[in-house]
Amino acid sequence: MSESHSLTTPTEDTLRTRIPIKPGSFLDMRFPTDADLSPDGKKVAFVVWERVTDQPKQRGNIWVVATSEGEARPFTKGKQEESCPRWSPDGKRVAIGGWSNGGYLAAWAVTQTTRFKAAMMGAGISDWHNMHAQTNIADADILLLQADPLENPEVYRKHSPITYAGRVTTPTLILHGENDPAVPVAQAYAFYRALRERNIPVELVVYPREGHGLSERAHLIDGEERLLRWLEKYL
Amino acid sequence: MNDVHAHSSAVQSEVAHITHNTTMLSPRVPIKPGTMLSMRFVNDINLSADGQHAAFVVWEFVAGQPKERGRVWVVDTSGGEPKPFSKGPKEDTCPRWSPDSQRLVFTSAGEGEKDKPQLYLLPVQGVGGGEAKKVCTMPNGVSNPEWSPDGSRIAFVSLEGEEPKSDPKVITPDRHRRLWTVRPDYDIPEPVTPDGVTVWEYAWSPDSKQIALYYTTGPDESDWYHGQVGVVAAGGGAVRQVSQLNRQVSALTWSPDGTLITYISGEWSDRGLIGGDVFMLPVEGGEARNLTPNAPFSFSYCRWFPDGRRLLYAGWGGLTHNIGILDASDGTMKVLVDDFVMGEGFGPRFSATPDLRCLATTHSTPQHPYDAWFGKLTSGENGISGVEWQRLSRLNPIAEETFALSPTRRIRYESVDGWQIDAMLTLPLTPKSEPPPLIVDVHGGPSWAYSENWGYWSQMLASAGFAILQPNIRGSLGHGVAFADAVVGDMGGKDFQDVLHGVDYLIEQGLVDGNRVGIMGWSYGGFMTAWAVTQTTRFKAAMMGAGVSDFHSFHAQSNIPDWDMRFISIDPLEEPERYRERSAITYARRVTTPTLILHGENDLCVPVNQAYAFYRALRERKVPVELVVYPREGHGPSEKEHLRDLEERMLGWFEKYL
Repeated sequence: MSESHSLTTPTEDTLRTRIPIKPGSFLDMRFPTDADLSPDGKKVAFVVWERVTDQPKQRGNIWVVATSEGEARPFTKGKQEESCPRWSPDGKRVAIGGWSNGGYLAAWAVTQTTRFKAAMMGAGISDWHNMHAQTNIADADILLLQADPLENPEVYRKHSPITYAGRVTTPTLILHGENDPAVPVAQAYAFYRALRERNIPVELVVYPREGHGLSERAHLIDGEERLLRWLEKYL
Repeated sequence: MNDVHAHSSAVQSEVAHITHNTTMLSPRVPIKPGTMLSMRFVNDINLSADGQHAAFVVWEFVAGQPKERGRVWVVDTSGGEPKPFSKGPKEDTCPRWSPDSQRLVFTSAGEGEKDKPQLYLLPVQGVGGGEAKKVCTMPNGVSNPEWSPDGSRIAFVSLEGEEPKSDPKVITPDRHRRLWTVRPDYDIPEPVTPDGVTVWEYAWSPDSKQIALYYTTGPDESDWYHGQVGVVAAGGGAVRQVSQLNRQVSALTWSPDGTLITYISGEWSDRGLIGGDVFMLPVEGGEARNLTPNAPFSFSYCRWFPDGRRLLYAGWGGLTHNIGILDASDGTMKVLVDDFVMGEGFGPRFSATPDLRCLATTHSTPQHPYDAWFGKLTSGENGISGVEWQRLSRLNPIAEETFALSPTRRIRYESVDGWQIDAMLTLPLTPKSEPPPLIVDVHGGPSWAYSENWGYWSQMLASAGFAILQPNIRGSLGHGVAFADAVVGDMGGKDFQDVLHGVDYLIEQGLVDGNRVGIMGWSYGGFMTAWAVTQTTRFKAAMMGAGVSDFHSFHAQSNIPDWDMRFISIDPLEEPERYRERSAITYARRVTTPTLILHGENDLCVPVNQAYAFYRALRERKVPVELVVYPREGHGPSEKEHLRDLEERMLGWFEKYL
């Protein structure tokens, strides 16, 4: 009773600083989910969901914080959704994965470093030039890359994982919806073919009827099972 | 060769006769979009060993079916009307006579989507009646049947395994194509090649005990580019590799004594479109010998005479085809026929009796669509001297007698490095203006060639008043291996210059309006179209059909990624910049030419993303552009309504912008 009393009749002091909650107030909040404690107990990784300007949906980034002291810091920089952080048993075997722009970053990462022992690229971008060709959000790549592909095709190539795909050594699982209007499935084929040509373990799974995210129950289960099997095999 | 000329002139005088008596005949009608969809097409002619009958496939659109139906027809070579032989609901193909000439085997696809083509057998007495007997049932259907020379077995190719699951679709290598045999009267298929081998072509040894293969250990379409020749026992077993190839081969055949395998080899863009030199490979192993180095034309088919000393060949020669005798010891040639277009545009070849005295082929001229023809080798004082031809069918009498055909002529012009380029020029009966606007039509491949045959789209466009130029630019078949190889590593280079020189030549001659020039093409011709409008603004309208705009993303999803690597001559993972340097998309900001883009949605060879890429670029630059994607279609549209739509749009586009 006293608690509810204190909530309904705030003190003079709090009345001055606290603001009433209105429709929309919660939209500025961040939500942490899916915390994972490292095997040595020294760190926690978790997902922070927040709304950012110019994006209709929440963005998910992975943050890490030390359990002893110190501030939580963002660990990834994806523009859309990154989730499911999992510490490898010894902290040295690290996989990377993500969906959409996170899929792009996963593909990018394995072309830039060999430190990742496994990767999952979900609905990811491998070739910005060809992305522009067929995506339904052709303005997005112009904004993200700050370049017009007709004027500066080289910028598109410089930022495309396919340009560096000859270097990849990381076993990579590629998942994609066949009817993805945002990131056309051609993106997945491109990275798949490059890795296959270099004899890097790679699997491309195309989900019929699916768009930019998987929605059918059987597909979601299949995707999760494959991801788990991939990580169990290569990580 | 004189016989050919005699025949061509006979045919021409027949035409002259018809045109001179116009008062007695209904008027000739101009060819419009859709006009030619009422025509019949013939292919895959097969001559019986006794030379008495020829079987062939007739394709035509019939009511209620979106695609052409194929049926086997048979004609008596001594005269008489061709008669339908098979009654399959969709596609009857590959008629092959038994060595005793008594029976005909063919493949027939069932009505349903999943009813794969199976092997059927009919006695020759069955012409016009009789029920075809199914030889055996293969779960994935049957293709490429061939009788053993002793008639005891029929070999065929069938896809292995079960169709992979499609939900989800896990991308894996394709399924192997295995070689089988079956005894014609027992439904017991027996595997010949082992698991893990794909057979692209094969040939029975003369004693029926072995089979020569062009095979790969990879199962994908793209693996075809790096196959080997091998030999396997007809009863089945391991494949023994005989060759050390780094190029493709086709048209395998054995010498009569069974010691040599002869084939034609070259660097080719498409399986099924071949032309190159003739090679001899010892069956017991050893070096292959090029029998025809520096030949001025491109061989596409050959067969040994029973004497084991000579071969009868067919080849592409410029805008026409030839037949001749090749000496197996020193490669000297004797031309028998130097101007006779064969093989439905896909390459000169013939079917022959074992003694090679009689031939059957399909033949066309600009005035005559393809029909079945029969040839007899004639002898003079110095042995075989020529071929006497006789026409066996008249599948399109209405087209021949009533279509108003625009005249086609052969031209030759000089291009870069002093190379001579052959081309066909079709000038309109009624020009849109004087001189007429020009459309350059670039053929696909690039390993292909225009031959002087019945024009299809060129006649439709000429009927609307346009002049059409169809050049055999470098890379084409018909001028030997060096000419064909000149495009390798240089797509969009001198091949493109050959296109431009052709346009300049016609303008210099005053034959066309230099201010109104369009360009079009399908496949590699679509690449050339997109490339052309990024390199020059001289073209006023363009049609890009199933064309490549970005080699990098082409490589990503095409079923022939080995093709781009071989023809750009670079590994895209090693030097991606070379792929971009040769891609139209890299220069797309420069385009000003209104461009119509046509593409099949399920094109496995050139993925539809190629069309989207060029479309978006032009749209962003506000250049008039239209992208039309045909559902269910692959690399070449096949449904009647799609073809009609395509022809209407193509003509409409050039009429609007040219």
